[in-house]
Amino acid sequence: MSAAIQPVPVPPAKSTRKLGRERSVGVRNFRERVILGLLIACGVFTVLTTVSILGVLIVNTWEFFGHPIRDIQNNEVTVTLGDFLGSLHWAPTAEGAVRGFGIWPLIVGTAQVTVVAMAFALPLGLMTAIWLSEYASPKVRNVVKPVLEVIAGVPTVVFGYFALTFLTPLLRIDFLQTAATDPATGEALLGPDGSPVMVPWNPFDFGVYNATAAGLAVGIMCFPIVTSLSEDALRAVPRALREGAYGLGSSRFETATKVVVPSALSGIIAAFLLAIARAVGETMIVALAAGASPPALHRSLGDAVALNQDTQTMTGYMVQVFTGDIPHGGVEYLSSYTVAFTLFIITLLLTLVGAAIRKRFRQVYE
Amino acid sequence: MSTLQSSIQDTHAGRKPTYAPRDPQTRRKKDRAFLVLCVATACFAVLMLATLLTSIAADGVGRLGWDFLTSLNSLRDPHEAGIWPALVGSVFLLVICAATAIPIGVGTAILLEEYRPKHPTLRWLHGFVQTNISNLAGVPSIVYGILGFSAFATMFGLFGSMTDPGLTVGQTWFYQYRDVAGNTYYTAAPAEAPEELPGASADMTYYTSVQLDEIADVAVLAAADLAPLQERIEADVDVIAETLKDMLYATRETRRGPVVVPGSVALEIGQAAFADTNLKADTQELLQITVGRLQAMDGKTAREIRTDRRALVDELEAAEMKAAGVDGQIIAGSTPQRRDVREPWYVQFPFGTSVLAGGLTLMLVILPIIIVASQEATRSVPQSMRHGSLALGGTKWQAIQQVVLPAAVPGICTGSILAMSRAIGEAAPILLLGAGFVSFTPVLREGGNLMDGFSAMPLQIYNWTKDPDAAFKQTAAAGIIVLLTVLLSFNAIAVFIRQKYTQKI
Repeated sequence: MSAAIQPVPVPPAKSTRKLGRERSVGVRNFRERVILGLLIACGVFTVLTTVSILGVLIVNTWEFFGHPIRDIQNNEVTVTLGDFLGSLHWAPTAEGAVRGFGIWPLIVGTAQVTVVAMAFALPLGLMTAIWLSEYASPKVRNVVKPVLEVIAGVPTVVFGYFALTFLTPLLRIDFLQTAATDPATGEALLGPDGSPVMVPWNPFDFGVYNATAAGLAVGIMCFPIVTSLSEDALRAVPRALREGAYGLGSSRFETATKVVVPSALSGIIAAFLLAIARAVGETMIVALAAGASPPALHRSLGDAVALNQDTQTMTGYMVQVFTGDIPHGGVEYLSSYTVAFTLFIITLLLTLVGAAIRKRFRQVYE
Repeated sequence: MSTLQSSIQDTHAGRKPTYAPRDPQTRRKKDRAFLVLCVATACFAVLMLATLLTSIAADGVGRLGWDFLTSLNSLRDPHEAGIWPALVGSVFLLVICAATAIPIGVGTAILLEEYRPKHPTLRWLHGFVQTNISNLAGVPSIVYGILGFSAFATMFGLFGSMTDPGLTVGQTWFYQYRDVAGNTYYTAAPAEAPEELPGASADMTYYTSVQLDEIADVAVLAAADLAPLQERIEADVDVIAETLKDMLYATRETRRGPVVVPGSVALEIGQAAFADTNLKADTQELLQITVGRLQAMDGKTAREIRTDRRALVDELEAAEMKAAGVDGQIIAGSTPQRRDVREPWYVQFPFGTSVLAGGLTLMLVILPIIIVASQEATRSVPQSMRHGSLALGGTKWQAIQQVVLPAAVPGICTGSILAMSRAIGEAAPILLLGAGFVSFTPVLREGGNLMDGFSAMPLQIYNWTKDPDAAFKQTAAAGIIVLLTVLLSFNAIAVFIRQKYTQKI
């Protein structure tokens, strides 16, 4: 045992060059802490953004409901929440008896544009998504998908221009002709050559500003979003499900409609809700093409479906107040904050419902 | 075995099978029809977008050109209106937006992805920040406009109003005095406007420029001291004016008819008027002024000429006053104008409707997009790379800084560029700030700064489209082409970065 293994002395490693500076642990830890602090500050900033949005909207909404106005008898009153949610008359900038503070016309105006937009974008978007994910070859898909993404990035003011200069004139084409009659006698008017005089007309009677053109433009804007997101949801359905369906003898149509779409339903609905939220919050298109008077629901409820006449959405009203010469601090000015708060709540609900649906109904395939 | 069979039979007892066997030919037809329908909708959508682009291109291509890109906007003439101020405005908005949104966005993404806390309360906070960001992404951009207006343009009313800012940096005030000849001289002034502006007096020091580097040779005179000089000049000019009047009226055919002053006659009249004068000013110069004026009178009636003649006399008097050496003679007690000079770094609080407020507002809009994109980019960096760095003794931040971030940069760049292209097309938030028409080049003009008012390309397009004059629609279409070109190049850069760098990891 005397021949115990002697430990071979290891010569200390001689580094020929110095790798980095040696720093004190204290300095290093301090630096780590400072950086973490900065990062937390960034995170706090995002929370602060939400808090400020809520703060600005709530404070001004509060002021709106507390702001003294004159009623018809010249008494000092304030707008109540009951007036706001219970009245069908919206005219905060008017004076006297015709003044009204009911939000519903603006909500209905927003709904008009959104419904037209979604009637266009949802079916078309879903069909295109099914075609892209189930039928199209990878080559086609690799071309179409990026193109859709680029189109999704086109500024909305461009769609507004398109609505005003292309869609509206298209809708207003007088495509029918009727023989003109003499208003006095009721007889058909004849031209110099003996043939009846024809008067062109349009049965839909679209106005220069109308909900349909604005809605269609919003729909075209939302179409790439619906397509892209639905296609992502459809593609996430595992191959095995499709192959199972094919194995049972289904056609591609049956596989797509009875297996793939139901499996991807949560993603598709989330995509739809996102598109609806975008349509509700869309500003530039409606500011250009929808006009500036919300449906007069207090006069006739039928105005709610008058898609051929001008309308105003919540966002349109906000633009009107902020770009017009309405004095700051008045009740008309404050009303735009209340409208903004309403809009914020509606879009927040849509976002939350979308997230909840995605979470609750998501099928996890593993 | 039998129980299983019976249970199956139980479930199906009395029910028709859900999928009745169908005729294979019908099924095949249905399949075909569906494919045709799908392709038709896709084609319709593509056609719609193609229509959009061609209709805009057809409208706008005629107005495009170098002039359109480089000229200032015009409210009156759609053929003169250019996009230059809006283009410059957009560039500065973008720079401010990128400089603020990218650091904050990437910072938040790193916080969320790399620093996942273990403590339950902190975990809840962490989740809260994450949920908050996905909700922020769904907030309509116009709501950010309202926030930007309150937080940046007016700063919640904490520092006075937009037009009378409570706090300024880089602004100097001067009193500006005018001498008899119309030259300007400056004296330093306090930042606060006094109740009464100080009248000119001999014990003040006057400078030739706002730099206050050269003391001006200024004499402060009582108004009475200048009177003899003025009297003399008036008398001299009166003689000339009389001669002009006589000769001018001699050219008329009838008593009340229009004068006839073609070029040669004007010169003749002028020379005769200045034939023997003892004026100190350069006679040639005065002659030039006179001849020009006289020619402009050609064909005018007697009454119109009276005002023209008066203007001419005033001009001659002013020229003669200058020649008589009244430069640097300020009449005592004359009140100055308050003038401010703003340095390039001038900042005011609140920001008002300025480029800075606009850029910060757009920052709020795109922040959630940048955060989500950066989170995805950091998440895609393999865990093993972090472990490698930590195993070598690096700290957490060293791992992030030297391993994670470099690997995530292409993803962050792509996301940021796409977010920027969103910002450049966003009009609603800055519309609410009150931005719109400007007839100068923001920031880049002489004396410009980040507090200048601004316009941006989408905003300019909106204003042109909204204009009742239909000819502005073409200008708007040309603006759209410029905007889309910028956007497409942004997208191309993003795609290029994605293609070039993603495979390397």
